[in-house]
Amino acid sequence: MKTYSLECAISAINDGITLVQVSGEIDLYNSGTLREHFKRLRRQGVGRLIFDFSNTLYMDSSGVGVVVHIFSSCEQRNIQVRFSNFRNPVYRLLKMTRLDGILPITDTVTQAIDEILESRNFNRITVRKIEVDGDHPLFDISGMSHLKIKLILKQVRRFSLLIVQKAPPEIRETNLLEQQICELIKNAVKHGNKNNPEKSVEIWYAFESSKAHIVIKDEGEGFTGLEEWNDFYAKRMKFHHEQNYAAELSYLSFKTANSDESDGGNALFAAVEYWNNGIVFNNNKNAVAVKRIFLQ
Amino acid sequence: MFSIMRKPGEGVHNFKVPAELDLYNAAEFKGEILDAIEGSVSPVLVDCSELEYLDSSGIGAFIAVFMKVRTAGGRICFINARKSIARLIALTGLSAVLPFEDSAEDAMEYFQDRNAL
Repeated sequence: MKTYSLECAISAINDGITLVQVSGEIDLYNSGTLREHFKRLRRQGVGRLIFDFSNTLYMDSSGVGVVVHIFSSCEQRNIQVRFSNFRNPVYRLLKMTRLDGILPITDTVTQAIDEILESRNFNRITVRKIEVDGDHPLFDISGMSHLKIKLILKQVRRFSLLIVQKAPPEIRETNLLEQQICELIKNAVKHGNKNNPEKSVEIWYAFESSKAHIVIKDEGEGFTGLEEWNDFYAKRMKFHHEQNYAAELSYLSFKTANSDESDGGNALFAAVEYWNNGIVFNNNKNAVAVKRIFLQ
Repeated sequence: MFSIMRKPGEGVHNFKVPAELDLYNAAEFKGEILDAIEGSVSPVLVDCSELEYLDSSGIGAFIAVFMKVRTAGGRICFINARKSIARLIALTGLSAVLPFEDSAEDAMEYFQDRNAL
């Protein structure tokens, strides 16, 4: 049987984008080459990738499999990726398997660059921040379920599970929801109430299939490092977007004088992403209101 | 305590993350790994196949171990993480920082890849 050749030419183009020009034919016997090239690139920490298939004459299902693998791996790792310039026979195969609606495909490399730069600029404008506003709509607790309980750290996980049990089954990734709620309660008990068994935590919650809304209040002195955190996070995101890996490493954990060995210093990074409809503190900074809209 | 597996051989430190790594055991987990790799520059392999629940304390332990290994000029790799764990790592903005690979085989490849970060 004839073995087809597959070549990948890799070059750095503008704005930290890496271009991979794939030429030849991709089949069962050589699709691994494309996978290997991708693996090497992601290990080098690429953040933006464009695959140019204008010289890919043929691709079989194993080639399509590698493209799908690259796409899902990029999704998981927050790598921006575009697949460009598919020739007609290859595009027809993608259409037939309905992947044309799932994969981020562009007609040209220029278009792919534009899309990547546009989404990056969009990210830059919306670097998330924790707000302070006791009158924020997220603090409207009317109609929400309410609990007030004296809690110590040992009980935090069990209590979070109890709350999440009230969430409707349509909500997917309930373990992530539970983990995020647990982080908020942990914060209130540990950093707010200083794990004092005499102090209470109040929680208001409302779940729908499309949203989760939580308000948590403790009896502590409030999150004094809030402005500092916003500043820290903005710097971290700046280095991240610049792909300044070395500088980013100094911004992995936010620690204050009150942090101890068990504090990861990273909970809020995930929180500002997860609670995509807002994360707001009251004016005393001892209550936080968060909301997530579940995208279908 | 919880299961930290360490088997010597082929010059790689092997560790297994328990099913839950959270505020209750993260500090201890971190301490045991840091003690075990003290003074060594051998690659560190962290198997997450049993890990179901991870929180910010657990991620903090991962970061601490990662930074320790990196500062010493060594390599560390996390393997076999399930989707929900990878989701949380990405959400925390660490997927470009902490090296995750699909299998032990891929990790060995990563340890040998001189161009990798």
